[in-house]
Amino acid sequence: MEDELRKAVRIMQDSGAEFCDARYQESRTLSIMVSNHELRNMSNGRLAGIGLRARIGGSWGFAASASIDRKSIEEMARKAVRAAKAGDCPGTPIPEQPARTGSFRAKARIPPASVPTEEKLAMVKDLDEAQKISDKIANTNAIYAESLRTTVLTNSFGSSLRWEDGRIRLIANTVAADAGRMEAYRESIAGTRGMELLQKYDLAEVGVRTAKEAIVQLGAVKPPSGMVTCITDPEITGLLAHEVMGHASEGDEIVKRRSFLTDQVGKVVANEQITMVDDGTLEGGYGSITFDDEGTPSSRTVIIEDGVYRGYMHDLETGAEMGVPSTGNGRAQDFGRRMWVRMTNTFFEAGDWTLEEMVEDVKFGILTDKFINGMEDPVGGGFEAKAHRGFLIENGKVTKPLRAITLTGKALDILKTTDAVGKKVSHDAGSCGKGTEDYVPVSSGGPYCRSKIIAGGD
Amino acid sequence: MDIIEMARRALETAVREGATQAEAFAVDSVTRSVYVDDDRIKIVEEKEDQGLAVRVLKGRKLAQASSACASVEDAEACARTAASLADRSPSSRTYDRFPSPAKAVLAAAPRDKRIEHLDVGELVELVKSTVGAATDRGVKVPRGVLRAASTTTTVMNTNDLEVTNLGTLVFAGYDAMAPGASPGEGVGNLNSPWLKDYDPVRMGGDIARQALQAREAKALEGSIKAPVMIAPGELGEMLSYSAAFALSAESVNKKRSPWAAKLGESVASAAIDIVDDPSDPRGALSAAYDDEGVPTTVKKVVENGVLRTFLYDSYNSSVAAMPPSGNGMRRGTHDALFMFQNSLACRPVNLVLKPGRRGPEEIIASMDEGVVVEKFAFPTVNPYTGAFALETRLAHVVRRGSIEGQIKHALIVGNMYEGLKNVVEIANDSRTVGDMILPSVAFNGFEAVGSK
Repeated sequence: MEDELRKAVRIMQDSGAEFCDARYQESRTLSIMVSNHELRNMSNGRLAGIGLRARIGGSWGFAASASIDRKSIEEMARKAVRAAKAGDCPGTPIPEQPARTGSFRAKARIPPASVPTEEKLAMVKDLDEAQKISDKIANTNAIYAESLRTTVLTNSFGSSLRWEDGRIRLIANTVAADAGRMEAYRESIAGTRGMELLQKYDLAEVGVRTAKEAIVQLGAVKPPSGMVTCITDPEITGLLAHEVMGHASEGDEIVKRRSFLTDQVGKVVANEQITMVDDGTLEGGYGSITFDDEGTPSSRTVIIEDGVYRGYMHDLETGAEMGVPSTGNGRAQDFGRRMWVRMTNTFFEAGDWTLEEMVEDVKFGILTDKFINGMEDPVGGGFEAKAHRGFLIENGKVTKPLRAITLTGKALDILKTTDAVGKKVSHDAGSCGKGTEDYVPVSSGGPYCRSKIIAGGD
Repeated sequence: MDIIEMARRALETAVREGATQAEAFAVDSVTRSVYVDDDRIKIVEEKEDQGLAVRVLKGRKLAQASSACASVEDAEACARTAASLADRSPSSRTYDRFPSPAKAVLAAAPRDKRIEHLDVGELVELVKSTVGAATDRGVKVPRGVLRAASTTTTVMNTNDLEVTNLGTLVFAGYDAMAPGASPGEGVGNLNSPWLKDYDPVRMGGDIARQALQAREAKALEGSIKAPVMIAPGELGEMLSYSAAFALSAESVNKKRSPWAAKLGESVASAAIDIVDDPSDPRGALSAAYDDEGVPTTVKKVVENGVLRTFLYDSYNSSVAAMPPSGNGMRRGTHDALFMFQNSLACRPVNLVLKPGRRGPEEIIASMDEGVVVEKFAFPTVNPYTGAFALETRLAHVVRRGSIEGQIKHALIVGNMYEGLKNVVEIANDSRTVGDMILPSVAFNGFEAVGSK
């Protein structure tokens, strides 16, 4: 395959590409879902093909196909260059870089593919079964997913790389119902490790806990509205890191001056307790990558350090535009989709508070628990996060469970009110789109943080 | 070898591997896209795609494998994988047969011949028109995409079923930005089977207007308890999370649809009529067959506010002992790429909410007080309860029949299932949004909560 890709690169160069790369990717996935004790999905997926990029000026031509014969690849190479010539974008040339070579395996002690499917199915069935703890449980769901993606990349710098990215994920989701009311709860375990990750957990206990929390939610009350003291849990803290500060720190948004964080390097943007990073090298992180999809090694980028804004994430192009190296954040959903500056594992670092210390200072407030979703707002710097649920805090004590809560406000206003940052960081896996498509695996996280945030819910 | 022949070879392989039934969903598509970055043409792309999803039944043991197919070996390997997984699957309680052949009752999928023969240069010119219409108003277009795809999907199975849907798809998505100390953002989306539905100048003008209005929008002080009218683009997403979820037999069979026990009962205001209409040529997924090869039909799902039926794919029809309604879907509305990867889902083909008589402007003129939401940050609804609290990125405040000004960052709080029972008026500005065609709707019972 490397020879075919190198030939494609040569054709693109000979046809006028100023920079070009050729990627072959093959992804294999296994998904198992059991719902209400019935198998609902047992599927294997294979996606394989070639994506070719050619850059002329600041415009890209892109061609992709599942066909991997030499003739098709050569025709695609010419097509990519023709397409690049149809663009009209000015751009800074991507500076020459040393060629990178090598072959790198996924970091899994027990590769998921080495474990019999029957064992995985038994695990999923057990997780589903464990959720049926009461007549109030209406619907149980257990989902297992594993993936292994192999990328072979060559480019006009002479790089020739082959590497693997492997992921694993297990989810329990319970729906409880009583007296005409329905509520749900979920737990998940995920990472770029092998089966050793799941073996650390008592999965029956995970199932029971999920179901118990779904039943607790049947008694939840409407959350308070307006500006409140809010202790965000690691998932919601992570959403603030990812959706607002993270997306707005993606180099393409900065080059376009679309981000509210443009020209903010060196300025105080948060309370001094706040440090935030994007770290593609995080051991086992769901968003961790060996190389980005342009063949740049992943790295740790400090975005906020002790409250001071430090910098941006880059791919080859935005790095060239801003005169800095790529941070290894050029990512694409697959070989058939566009490359963007994307996050990996984005999180706030630990402070020195315990959750108990944070709660005992609060007369009236809320404590969130898990996210449903959030939305980026790089232009306005707005934060919108939907928490799956929360708890009321009254006179220093956690009291009633709350239904879903939407949190909103300006991110910088929120971060300046953060007066307590927790000791323990945890991460949650997700899938991040840019706009409404181009999904890549990421994680976000942080510690419990106490801030003033506008809340609302029904 | 073409993908149809590969699908046949996959079925033969599955049977050799012990399948009692086998099904292949074969996709062949060509996608052309043009991306804008900062008012300029950034990426031009052409992508070809072919692949298979193979489902195998061994008795009642069901499994699936999918694969991109560059050769017949890929197709045969895909079938062997599905057959091997089926050996490991526990038996379904009810499902033992893929659909049988049946004659189509509706017209074939809408297919735009202009897209089949499209030159990517034509897309480039359309995008430039959109960008020009926005920049003429002093607004930047930081990013956008216009995509046109032609797709051929074929379903065949060992019951001698073989059907083909030929379709086309247009998707556009743009962000606009009005620069300034507090920039405003406009967002425009379109999906349709027809390229003629993409009016480049109107798209550019609309995102520019939104961006300029969003720049001037103020934070809401206090709250407003008055009718809230929601634009089709946002309402379509909200109903997809709520009504479409509740109508799916998958949700009903799993006992998590809030409408599970409400057949024949009122679930909405009498003004609400919802039809799943795969014959509507505006529908992005309209077709004569679903993605299991079952003929699609026009179904009144909510009639005068009364729930009439749920939507069934073949699996959920076996669980509920009902005939399948042609709602086993794999195809998507935004992108034709790698559709063979999509799991089969029990969902609408094309939900159509019957429009009212008056335009949004006339409805606004008759409001004493109200809020018109044009853009939410992310319009999701809790599917089990219907609850939502959504941040507005652009909304209009109405007083005494006129738009008084724009607000942003307010929360609209309410419950969509309750909202459907409290419809004030349905407008006549229907448009296609994902797998729905719907107009703006004004609701009672929602509240706008200010950020100050």
